[in-house]
Amino acid sequence: MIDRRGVLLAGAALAGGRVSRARAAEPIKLGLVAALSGASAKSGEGIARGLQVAIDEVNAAGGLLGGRMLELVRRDDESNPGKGQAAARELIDREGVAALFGGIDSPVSLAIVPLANQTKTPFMGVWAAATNITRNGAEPNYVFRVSAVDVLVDKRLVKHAMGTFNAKSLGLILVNNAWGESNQAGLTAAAAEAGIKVAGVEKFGEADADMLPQLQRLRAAGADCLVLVGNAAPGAQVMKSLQRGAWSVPVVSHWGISGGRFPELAGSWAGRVHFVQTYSFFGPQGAVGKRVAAAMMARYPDVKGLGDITPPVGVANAYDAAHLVAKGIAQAGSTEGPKLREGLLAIDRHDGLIKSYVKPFSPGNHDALDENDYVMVKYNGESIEPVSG
Amino acid sequence: MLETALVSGLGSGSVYGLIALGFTLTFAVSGTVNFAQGSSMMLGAVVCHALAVGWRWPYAAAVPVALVACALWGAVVERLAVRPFVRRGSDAWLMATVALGIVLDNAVMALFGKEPRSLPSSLADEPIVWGEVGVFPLQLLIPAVLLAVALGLHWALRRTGLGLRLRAAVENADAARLMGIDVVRLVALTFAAAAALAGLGGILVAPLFNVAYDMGTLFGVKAFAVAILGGLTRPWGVVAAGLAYGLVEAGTTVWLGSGATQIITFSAVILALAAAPAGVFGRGRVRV
Amino acid sequence: MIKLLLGVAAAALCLILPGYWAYVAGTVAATVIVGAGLNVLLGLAGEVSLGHAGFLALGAYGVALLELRAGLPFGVALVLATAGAAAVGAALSVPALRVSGPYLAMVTIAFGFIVDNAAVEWASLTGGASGLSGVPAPMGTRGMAALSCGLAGAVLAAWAWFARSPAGLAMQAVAQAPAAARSIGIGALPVRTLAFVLAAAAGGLAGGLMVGLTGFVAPSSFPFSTSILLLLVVVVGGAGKVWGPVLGAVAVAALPEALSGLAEYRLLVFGALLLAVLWVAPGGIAGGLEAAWRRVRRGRALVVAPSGGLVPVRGGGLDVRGLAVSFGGVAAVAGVDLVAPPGRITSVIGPNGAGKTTLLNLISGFQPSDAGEVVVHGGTLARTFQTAQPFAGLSVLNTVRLGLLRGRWRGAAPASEAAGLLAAVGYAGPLEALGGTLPHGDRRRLELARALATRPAVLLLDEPAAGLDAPDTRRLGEVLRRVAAAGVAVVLVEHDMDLVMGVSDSVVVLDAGRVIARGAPEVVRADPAVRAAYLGSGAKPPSARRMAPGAALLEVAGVRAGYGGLGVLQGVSLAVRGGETAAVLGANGAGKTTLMKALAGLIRPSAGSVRLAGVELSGRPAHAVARAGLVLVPEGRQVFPRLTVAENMRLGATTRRDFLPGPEIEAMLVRFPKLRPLLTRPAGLLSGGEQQMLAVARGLLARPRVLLLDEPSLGLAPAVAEALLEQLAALAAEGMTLVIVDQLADGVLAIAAHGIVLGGGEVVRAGPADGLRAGLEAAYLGGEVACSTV
Repeated sequence: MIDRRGVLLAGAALAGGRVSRARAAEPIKLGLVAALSGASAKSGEGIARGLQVAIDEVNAAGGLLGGRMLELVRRDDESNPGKGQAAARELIDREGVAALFGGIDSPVSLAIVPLANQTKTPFMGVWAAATNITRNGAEPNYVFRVSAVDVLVDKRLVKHAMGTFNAKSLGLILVNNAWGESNQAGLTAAAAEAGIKVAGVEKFGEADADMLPQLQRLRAAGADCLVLVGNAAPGAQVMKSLQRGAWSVPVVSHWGISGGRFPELAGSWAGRVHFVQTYSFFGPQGAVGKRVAAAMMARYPDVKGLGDITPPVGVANAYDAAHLVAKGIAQAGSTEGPKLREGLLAIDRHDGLIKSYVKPFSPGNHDALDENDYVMVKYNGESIEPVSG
Repeated sequence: MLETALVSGLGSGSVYGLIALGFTLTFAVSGTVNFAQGSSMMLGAVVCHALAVGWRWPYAAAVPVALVACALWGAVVERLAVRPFVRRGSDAWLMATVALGIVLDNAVMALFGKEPRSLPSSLADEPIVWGEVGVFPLQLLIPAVLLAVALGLHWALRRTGLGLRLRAAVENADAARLMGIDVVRLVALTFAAAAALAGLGGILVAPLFNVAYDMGTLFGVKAFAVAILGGLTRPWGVVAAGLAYGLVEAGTTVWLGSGATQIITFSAVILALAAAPAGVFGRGRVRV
Repeated sequence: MIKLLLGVAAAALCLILPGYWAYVAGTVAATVIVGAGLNVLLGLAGEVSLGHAGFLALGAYGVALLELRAGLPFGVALVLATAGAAAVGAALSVPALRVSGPYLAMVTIAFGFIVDNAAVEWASLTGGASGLSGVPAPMGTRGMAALSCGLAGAVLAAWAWFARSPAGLAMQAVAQAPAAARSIGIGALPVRTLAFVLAAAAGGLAGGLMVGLTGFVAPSSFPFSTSILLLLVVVVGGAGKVWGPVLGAVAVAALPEALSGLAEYRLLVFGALLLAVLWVAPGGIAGGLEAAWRRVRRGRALVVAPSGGLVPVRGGGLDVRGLAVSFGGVAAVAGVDLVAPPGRITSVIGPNGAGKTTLLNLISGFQPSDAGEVVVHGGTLARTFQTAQPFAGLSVLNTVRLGLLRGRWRGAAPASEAAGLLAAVGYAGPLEALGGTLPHGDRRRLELARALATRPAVLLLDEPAAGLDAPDTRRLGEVLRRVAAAGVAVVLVEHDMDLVMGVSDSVVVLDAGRVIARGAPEVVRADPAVRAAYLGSGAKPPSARRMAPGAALLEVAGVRAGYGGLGVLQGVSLAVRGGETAAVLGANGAGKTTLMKALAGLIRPSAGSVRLAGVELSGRPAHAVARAGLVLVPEGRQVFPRLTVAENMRLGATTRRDFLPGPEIEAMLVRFPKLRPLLTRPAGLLSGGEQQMLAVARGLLARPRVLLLDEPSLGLAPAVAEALLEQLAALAAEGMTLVIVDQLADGVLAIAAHGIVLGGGEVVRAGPADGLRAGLEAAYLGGEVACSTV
């Protein structure tokens, strides 16, 4: 007993000395607001698992600020921005979370951004890729991200379409929501920059069952490569509709399709899509990759193989983001928002799963990943494997 | 483009028609409907998925069992959410059926999971292709099933004893009771049949779409619009309205883009009702 | 007042609460506001909206756009957005008002989807699916929450005031008894439009406040499920109760907190809760509490000194000339002239189906006429209904006040004047009692007071004495005399001949839509044409058949039955032996048809027994009674109009397994040869006589042990009726057991061995057929009723 208290005191002293014993026992809460139900439930589950594995590692190493354990508090946003903002408020005001993590839906994240800045609570995006989530114009800006940025992903997708598929005319098929809009802007700009024509832009609803009419419009407009932005269920409908129309056009996709059971839902044409990921658990793995895969299998009984670590992007981004936040807290020596924000900006180096981060955040750039960190992959059965190019 | 609109429109329109036929059945006999028909549709698809994929039953066994499950559900809806309120002379069955639909949707969410799943079918695997238009055999089967069901219903109503009793109950429930017809049971039967029809629609559309606990909501709403446009008590009107709705939907998507689809179709519903308030409810409710 | 104070208190609390709790309080308050609006639509006007999230979205986008694009301050934007939502509500009410029930639900669902999709598609204005963020809220979260709470209090206070205002009362009246509301001058259209506008405005206001609270709006903020949740708020809380939306909003907000472990099953719990509330407490939480409260303080009556009462009227009476209408080729009213002078009681009598109620509907404009004119000299016209139509949820006092207002939304309707009228018609119960809870006699009195409150020059009464006991009927007669004495032209349609003969200044007799006699009561009573219309030609002597010996096949003992709270049969007994024909006679309204319905199981007797061959049938549903062999050929034939004659016949044999369609239908065609060429024709196209034959054939095909016939000759031409009675006589001769109710007593008595005469729901005479004829006239046309039973 005395030994343990001694260790705690020593830890407290190391972490800045001002932490009282009573507070040392108090956990540091980290909040997650993500889709835990509905069509994108799988994404929220993946994020939660990535965060949890990282948190377990931090806690196993003795926690932060003198032995305070990290604790994950999750809330379902039902993909509804109103619900998401209310949940974020609750986490900030009632649970007193030190930082918030976001989910797959850009509209929800966009609704939380002003709240985060107003309440000075660091908000870490781990999936939603809308450009203006981090580039929101606030000063000081409390929003960070370990995920793709649409404008950068869009450049990569256009590059892949031109390089791998020799595309001359792009057909955009986008989900009809904020995320689709963000990518419409990004893809149009990227295409203009790369000097490639956009044959047409078509939208589909989250619950649409038949995309053939939209695809026929793109086909008639002369598209020779499709760029798909959408989540797994409607994304699968796009592939089924393509199959039905017997239009074997190449498809490059944003990573939304990896947020659910895309291979099951899309059937035999699932493997035709090349899509972007930040990380793949297949192929040669570094030490961190092996460790995370082992931890996932140990903690979650339904993870029996690498292919069960789904969606990999959610797990990987969340894992790295949680560690970066932990580093930021350690750096700041405090869980107070403004200090944590400074702490995040002051992180010098972090050996993460996706890459080794060097100065991941700076006042001008709150996005830890850039276009060099994206890999193009495709489904092979249920698992995801890299494609060359 | 035209072919696409036709194929897509007839396929989805047929599913709306199937679900909407259920509305006409119950409405004609009892003046009530299961407002949560979409949930019955979902139940058919989910039970079929659980049996065919989860337990690896052959479809020949899974589909009938799923339909029976739907029929039982329909009878439960009638017993719990319709009959008690009709007895009281209350309109609350409308909300009660909605409530029961919410209960079913969320119970299924708890049991089946939140994620959409796919129902594999050899009929939705390899398309038949003509030029730029491809159809899954299933897409051709759905309108055929709708037509067969409508013809079968037509035949059964005209040529069987049960059909005759049903028509008698539609025309004059009290007189039918005096003929020894158990109208209460007949109403329960129509609710069961309606749910089974919706379940059939769900099973048919599942391989083209996917199976999810919330898949029925939008289908149910559209099918109700179809039932109302078709005139609620006229089966053939409903079949025609279903196909027309599907075609307008697909046509709008093809020629105006998908963003306009719901605005156009639902505006059409409002305008149609304003121009021709079929008034079955409206007139029936005013007692002079 | 308490609502306002509560709102202010909640607002003050918001200013000191931690941010999250203030935010929660603010959203609950906004929910209360939209719920109160929906409570006007659902609770007062009785209409369901399943697209109310659309109005929230309109208000939210309105505020956001006016602030961001037009640079208006929040307060101004909120007011304008609320007005905008109200305007859209008014526009939507145009198609919505033409439909109701599920049709209306569909219109509102469609509206919700259109708003949702338009918000996505009109991206240049609305920001598309991303919506609009950074909407300035000048007072911060706490300030906005405080504002929401304050406004919620104000809205609740306004709701409570509105529900008791003339327009609010009119709204409830239209929802609860549309025809009755119309009869006192309340137009349904403006009232329902107002309901829509108010509900839309509240939705817009709440949406605007939500934008202030959250600082952003996106289409996904208001999904379809929001509309359902809002409905749930109102229904669970208590539709039509001022505190309903508050309780509902708190329940919906608090349940997820209470069930945090079950967060994912929140909707499951909500659905089950909604169902439970609908089952157990149709009035919601607030309704249940209020009912309990009412029980506690039951009996407390508002005492108001009666004043006013019957005010003298100067009117010129009613002039009806050549009024005619026909339904499906049958003339229901065929050129009726009627003069009802002021200060006089003019009665309209006639056998069943003579067209009396139709005439009343034509005069009062409830049915359009084909020809003729109705002139009310110097004043208005008011009416009552055959079945009392109280405003079930309104107090007695408010019901009469609505009458005083005559459909106006403004103006004075003093409680004392209303109470005076109630006293004048003899109402002595509590003024706070709800119309739906009144006993039958009081409903009649209330209806009379409501009609008189409009200060009519002409008062039309449709069977006001139906269901009243003798002392009540006598008092009604006195009231009617006083009404007439005040100068009102009273037109009385009534079956109670003692009342008619006792109070009328003149009597008009209708038969088959025509006037067959008119004059002073005693003149009319002595008119042979009138006697023939009521009793038959008298050409045939009563049968001298004796009662068959042996035990009764059908044994009816002490049956009591009625409709709702209205008791009609007061213990009727009748025994019929196998092969015997019994007649059930009596004046209109004596309870003959009710007896038939009670025997056939169409209504459930409240007491007594009905035994067929010793088997108790009382309380069994109609289809089971029919299966047991007691088959009714109902009043008005009730053939299935769109089914063919052959199908109608086959349905008669529904319960039989040994039915041989070919020979048995052939046997019926032999019995009724007129039906042979009509076999494939829809029954609705048959003449009345043919339909009656079909109905009898249909009944016979059931192979009944006892066949009940309710008014088989009703509405038939004399020759046709004659032919039909011959058929029945033949049946009786074949040994079929028959119980026949008929208006034309002479014809039935020619067949029957014995029978009963009903009066006021009781058996006033019973015995062999030849003994019943004497004294029937008194039973049918008033005067001394011989009370000796045989």
